[in-house]
Amino acid sequence: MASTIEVTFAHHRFVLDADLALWWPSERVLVVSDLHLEKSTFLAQFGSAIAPYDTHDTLLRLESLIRKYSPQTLILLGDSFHDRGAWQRLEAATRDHLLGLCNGVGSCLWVEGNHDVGLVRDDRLTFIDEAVIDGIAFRHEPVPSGGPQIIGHFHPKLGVHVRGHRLSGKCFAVNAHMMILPAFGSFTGGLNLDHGAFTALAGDLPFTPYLVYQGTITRRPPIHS
Amino acid sequence: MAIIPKLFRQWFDQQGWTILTHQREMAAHFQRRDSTLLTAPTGTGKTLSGFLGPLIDIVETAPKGLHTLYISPLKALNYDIERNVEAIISALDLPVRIESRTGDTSSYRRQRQRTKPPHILLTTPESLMLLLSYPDAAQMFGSLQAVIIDEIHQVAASKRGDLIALALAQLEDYAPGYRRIGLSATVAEPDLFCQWLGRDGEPVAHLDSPVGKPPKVSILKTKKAVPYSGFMAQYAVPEILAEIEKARTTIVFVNTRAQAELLFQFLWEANSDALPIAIYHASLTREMRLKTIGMMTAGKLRALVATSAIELGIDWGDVDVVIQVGAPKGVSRLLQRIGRSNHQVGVPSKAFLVPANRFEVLECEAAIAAIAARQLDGDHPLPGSQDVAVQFILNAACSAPVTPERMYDILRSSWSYRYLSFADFEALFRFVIDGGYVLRNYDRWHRLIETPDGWVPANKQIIQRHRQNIGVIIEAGKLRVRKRHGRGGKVLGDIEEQFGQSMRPGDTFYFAGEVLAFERIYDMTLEARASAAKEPLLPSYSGGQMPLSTFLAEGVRGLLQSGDAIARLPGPVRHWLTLQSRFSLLPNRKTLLIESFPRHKLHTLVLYTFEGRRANQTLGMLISRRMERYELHPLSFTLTDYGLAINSIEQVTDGMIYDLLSSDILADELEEWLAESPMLKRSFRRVATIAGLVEQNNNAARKTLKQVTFSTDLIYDVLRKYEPGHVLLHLAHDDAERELLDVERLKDMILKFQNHIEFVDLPRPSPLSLPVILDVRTERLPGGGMAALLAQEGVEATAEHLIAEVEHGLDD
Repeated sequence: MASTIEVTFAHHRFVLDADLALWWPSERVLVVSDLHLEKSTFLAQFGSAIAPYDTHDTLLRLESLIRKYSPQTLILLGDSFHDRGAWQRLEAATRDHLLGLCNGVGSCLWVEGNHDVGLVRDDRLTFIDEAVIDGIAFRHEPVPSGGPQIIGHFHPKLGVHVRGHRLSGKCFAVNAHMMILPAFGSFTGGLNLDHGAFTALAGDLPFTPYLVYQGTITRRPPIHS
Repeated sequence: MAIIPKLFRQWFDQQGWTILTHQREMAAHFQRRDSTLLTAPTGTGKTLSGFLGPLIDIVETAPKGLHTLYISPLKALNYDIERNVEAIISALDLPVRIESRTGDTSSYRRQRQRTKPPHILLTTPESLMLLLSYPDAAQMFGSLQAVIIDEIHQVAASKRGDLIALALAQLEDYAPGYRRIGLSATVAEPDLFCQWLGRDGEPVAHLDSPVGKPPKVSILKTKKAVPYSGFMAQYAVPEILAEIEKARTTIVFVNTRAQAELLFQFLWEANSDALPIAIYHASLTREMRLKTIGMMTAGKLRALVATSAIELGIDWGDVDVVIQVGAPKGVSRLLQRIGRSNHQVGVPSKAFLVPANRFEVLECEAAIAAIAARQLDGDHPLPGSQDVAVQFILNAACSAPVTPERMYDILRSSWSYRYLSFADFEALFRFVIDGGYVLRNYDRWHRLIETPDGWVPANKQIIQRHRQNIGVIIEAGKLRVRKRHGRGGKVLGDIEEQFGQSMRPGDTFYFAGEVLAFERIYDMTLEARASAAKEPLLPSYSGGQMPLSTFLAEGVRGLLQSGDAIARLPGPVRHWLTLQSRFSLLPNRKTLLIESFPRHKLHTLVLYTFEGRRANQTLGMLISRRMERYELHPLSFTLTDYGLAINSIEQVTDGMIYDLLSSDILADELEEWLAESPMLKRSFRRVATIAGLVEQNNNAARKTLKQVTFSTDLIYDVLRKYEPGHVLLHLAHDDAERELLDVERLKDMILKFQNHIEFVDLPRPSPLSLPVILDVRTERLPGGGMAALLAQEGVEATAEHLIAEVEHGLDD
């Protein structure tokens, strides 16, 4: 019943954390993806009064990860905001909280995701297309390149059978070229790993899932299409 | 007495009918502007009773606009009624327009119904709510003279009943004093339904049609003895088939879809004359169901194996015999099923009961005794659900500006919501406005905004979204089942998403009377191929598990304490009970019998509660928690409608038993368990959907259950963390207690028996415990249908062996 699991990816040692984050010890890099901040207030505009505590909850969880690892670099791997108006809808205190977390680490890299495009924001926030550290690319969506890449975007999840019981949870998906991070946001759903999008992405190298379930993380057999 | 115009009297004569007393009286009540509840058995011209008054009135007054609204819980019933009433109208050439409006009505017709309404509109609770959400509702319903609510006994004690109750209250605003006409099967306590139907707590008048001859009901005699435990009644297949051969048309009722599939299979295996026998349950496609109905009414079928999917008042043609396989579970329910046969006034219905195990024999006998004594049970209307009230408030605001004071008055004028406090109401109203969150309010995202006239929806999307999500039936997620041949294929029906997802490629299952092999799930469709396999996996048991009614449970207890009644039982059953009374005790009405005995190196505790599966399940969870606390190490439990058996490592002793069953178990253990179980999440999903927090429909694209589940689970977790006092969490809690746990029933039982326990310490399992401890029914049976039968045989052998041991012990 481990809450973290170590994997080797592109000749580097990484830690997958059941709190939905990736930790790179040698570089002191912490990565989270798909926060989808202010998803609740986005839905509220259409008449759905969903509990508005998702941003608050997401940031508290991020804060505790930062406290746990004291990263040099924090990478937010895209879709940090649910929609173009999300930054403006943040309450002042929440916005300060977010910026405070970013300013508390050596460098904070905001990778731009498809949901972030066109975000109405001020100059305290700048997006980059991707970050490359030691030859590993951190980007939101995959590009058909030769190098190893760590991405978000797909919100992978997995359902498994254990002794006749079916359980499902978010997961990391890893093969030799690619690592897909689970969505970090409190109100984010997921796409099952047996979906065509993942099998197309995997090609000849099936993904090994690392299933997150109730604070634990477990390696599962690779998904063959 | 009512004045029936000559025209109508002639029509009755032409049909060769006489106008029945209750039909005439209903017309008289209508002419006096009285609201009335008519209770009458099936097949006594109930529908005509309801429509006679309105038809006469429409002919005489030639009203402009909508005159009578008819609400039934079932679309199919609407079409049936429309056909029947239309037949009268065209036979007499009456100047009356009748139309139905359901979710299937074309948009052109819907538009016309609002601008130029028919005299009589037939609709469902959901479609009526939608009509009430339009700005022209006041105008459309202003001329209303009467509302007929059909099948009240089925619908009043449900959230759909709450929807109707609130619609009735709202209509009072538009057409004060309109007549409320209720049509119902015979019920145990009609007064409650009269109050439910009345305005401002004033009960409506009650008319009870004289009951016809009591039905002829008996237990089907079989060559083989009824087994000790089990649920499939395979032992009776030859006799069931023999009755089908004797009769012109038979309906064979079962309790679950799985039973339907299995029994259908058994009958066909034995059906050497290839009699046309069909199957009918709610999971089959609409086309297949319509085809079966068509064949049935045309008299082309000899028998139909069916679940409760066909119970509601549709005319099924000339049925001679009804056979109920498995326990009846309730007297009223059984009578309605029996009422399917001989749809003629004055001729008694004929029915056979086929108990699946020995306890069910007792239940069948108790039901037969109750029918003979003309006693009934049934659901009572419950206090109105508050999630439905939330939906109603928004619905009203979509039509016209609302004020909290006015809405509160409307809600309270309905009997179902008479006890709603203003404080509780305010929390609901607040929730409609902005979600009612304390820590962070949605100041900019209000669903309702205040205008000088009252509160109105903030924008058009909110209205549109609400209208797409009206209703209280939260569908269990369904997958279409498609049978493939080559490249093509055919859709057979729907199956529970959960069941579908539990299968792997190659797994086989019964569906629509065929054995299919699962291939894959693609785009909400389960694809399967015909299979030659003889050992299919069964469809899951989810749903369809009616708990035993309290009334019938009392009947069984009463039967057990009457020597005369026992003496009249079939030999094997009598022998079984005699052994029990010699070896242990027989349960009675005044005490709760609890037995303890060793079994398989463990200790088994059996509680004969007679409170139904749902309540027993809850009790099992609670007692095993408490046993864990006392370090008795409970390992598992099995249950039936009658009892609960818990296996533990340590033995429960006489001194402990009162602590195990003390009433605080309903506080401490219940709260603890609820907090951890997925039960509350399921309830939260239901109330959140009804209250409009999440949606079932968006732009006509229905979300799958998985998506809804996922998002409500996330919301649930976050709410519990940050706002544990939120109104929706309270509603979810109430909903779980009522809908899933039968907590009320359990409470009554514990209070009644907590000081009246009969505890018996035994050297080995008692005869009465066998159906409980050997119950092989689980959510999914291991190994599939044939393997289950094998398991059943093994169980029967074990039972015989255990009984022999008891007999041997007594002889010594």
